Amino acid sequence: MVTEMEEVFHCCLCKKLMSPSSEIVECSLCGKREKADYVCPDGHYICEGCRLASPDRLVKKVCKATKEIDPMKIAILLMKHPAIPMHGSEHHYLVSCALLAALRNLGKFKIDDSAFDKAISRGKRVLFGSCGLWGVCGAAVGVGIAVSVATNATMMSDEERSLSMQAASEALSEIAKIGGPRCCKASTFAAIETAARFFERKFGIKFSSLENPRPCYFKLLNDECLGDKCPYFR
Amino acid sequence: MNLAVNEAIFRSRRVGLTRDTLRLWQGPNSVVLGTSGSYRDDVNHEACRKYDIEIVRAVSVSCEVLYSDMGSLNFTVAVDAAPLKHLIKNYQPVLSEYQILNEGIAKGLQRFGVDLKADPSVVYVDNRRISKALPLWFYDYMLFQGTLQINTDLDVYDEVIRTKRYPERKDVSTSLGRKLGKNIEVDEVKKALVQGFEERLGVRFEEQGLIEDEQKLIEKLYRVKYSLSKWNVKAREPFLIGMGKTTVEVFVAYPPTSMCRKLIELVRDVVSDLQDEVKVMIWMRGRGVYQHGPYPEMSSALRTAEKQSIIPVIIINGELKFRESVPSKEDLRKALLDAL
Repeated sequence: MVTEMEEVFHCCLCKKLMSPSSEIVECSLCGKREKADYVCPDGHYICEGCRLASPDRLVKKVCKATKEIDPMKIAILLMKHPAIPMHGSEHHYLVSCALLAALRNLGKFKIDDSAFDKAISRGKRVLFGSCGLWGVCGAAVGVGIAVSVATNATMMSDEERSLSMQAASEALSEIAKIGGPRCCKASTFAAIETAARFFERKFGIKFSSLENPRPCYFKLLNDECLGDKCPYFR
Repeated sequence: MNLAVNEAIFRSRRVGLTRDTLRLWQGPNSVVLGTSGSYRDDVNHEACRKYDIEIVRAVSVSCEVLYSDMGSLNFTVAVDAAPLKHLIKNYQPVLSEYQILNEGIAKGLQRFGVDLKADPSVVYVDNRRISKALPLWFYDYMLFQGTLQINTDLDVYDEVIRTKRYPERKDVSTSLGRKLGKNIEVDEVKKALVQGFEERLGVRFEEQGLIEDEQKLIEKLYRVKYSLSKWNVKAREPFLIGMGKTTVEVFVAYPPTSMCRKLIELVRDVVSDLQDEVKVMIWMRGRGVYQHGPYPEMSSALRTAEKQSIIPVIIINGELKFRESVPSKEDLRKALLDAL
């Protein structure tokens, strides 16, 4: 007995019904041009490489390729991909990479491709569930990592080290206000909003006006959604 | 073989082929480990050799260890547990279901004039355990496999389960026979247990044998699982769906890439003449666990593939066989036939 495969596909990025295509189209995530199989009415297409990518490869690939200067847009785009689960430690490095990619595109700091490797490698060390177990949400750590990578901070640094910790602690404080059970999407939104304010205040860097993540695109996918208690629900 | 019978009854109940079932049975001297029990550390192997006791493993969420001999009566309850929650005050998920079934046992044995008590983990008298069970859940369905000590040789019991992890003491367990100071007829206990369960659950049992599907499944379960040291020693079991069909899980991208499509076509081609024996399930990344209905059955290999982003893959009976490439038709056919 073979269970029939779903032959109707909805776009991961906008949920619209996709139609068969054989045109050469640009991948909406990494920009690669290839012959498409399914494209949505808004022209979204995800290339075969991105569809098969692991979360860390996907994050790196997209952040390397993007020209976007809004970290929230980059983060939301990444989180819509099926490789990024509803909750998980993938969000820890996703936050740092989205921030670093936007900073690079703004021409701020010296951020090359190795910055994403560093951010991913550091973010992966923060365990899933660290929010409840350590009292430190990985998305907040992701903000600290972004500042650290951007400023080349180490434990021996002076101001850079302090800035990294301040950024992480401000993000953590905002995430803590949301309450629980944890939602990695809400934490990511809060982390990026806090980071944007932090970069403007401390470095004079203004991201483009951040995409408003409200109402949350992911709320129906979250079994433990906080509903009206969450500032991103509506 | 008896544990294969229990699992077959449970699977048959889960898919709706049978109704709630109580099975009372006796078997050879054996130590029964739960799924997470340690073959090495939870059993005194020297004592088992001395008394010719087999060591087997039951599907269970518990790491408890049971001992059963011809003086013991084993019970198996396969039940849709959802209605049970209405039979108890202050319902506590999971614990209340165990409590109710243990109360059924206690109620039955009270007919012998013994003041038995039940809690969610054991049935006891004078603070000494007389019965315990290994539970297993599949969504709302519960399998409750346990042993009741009637005329059990408690000295042997104490010796075979006495390990560093289970420092059994003689004052911990007892038997109905010891409590009453006489040997008890097992048939009398069977009747009492049936009555006890009927009263506590508010049901009437009808005597029935195994159905044909269960008999077929028992043979398969014994062959691919319960007769093998892979299960009994290492606790590694094949992943079988429903009534034990050989299962091919194909994990692909969403929407499937060209490689994923080739893989799906190949699987369909290879199983085309094995449709009655093989179930193919195509899982798409990111589409959630309910892609195939409200009671998803996924192998741990599939969960691993999803977690580690190994995609696409072919998993046969819970073993990851082909990853990130399209195998030859011959290789896939061979892997499938080996698994049947």
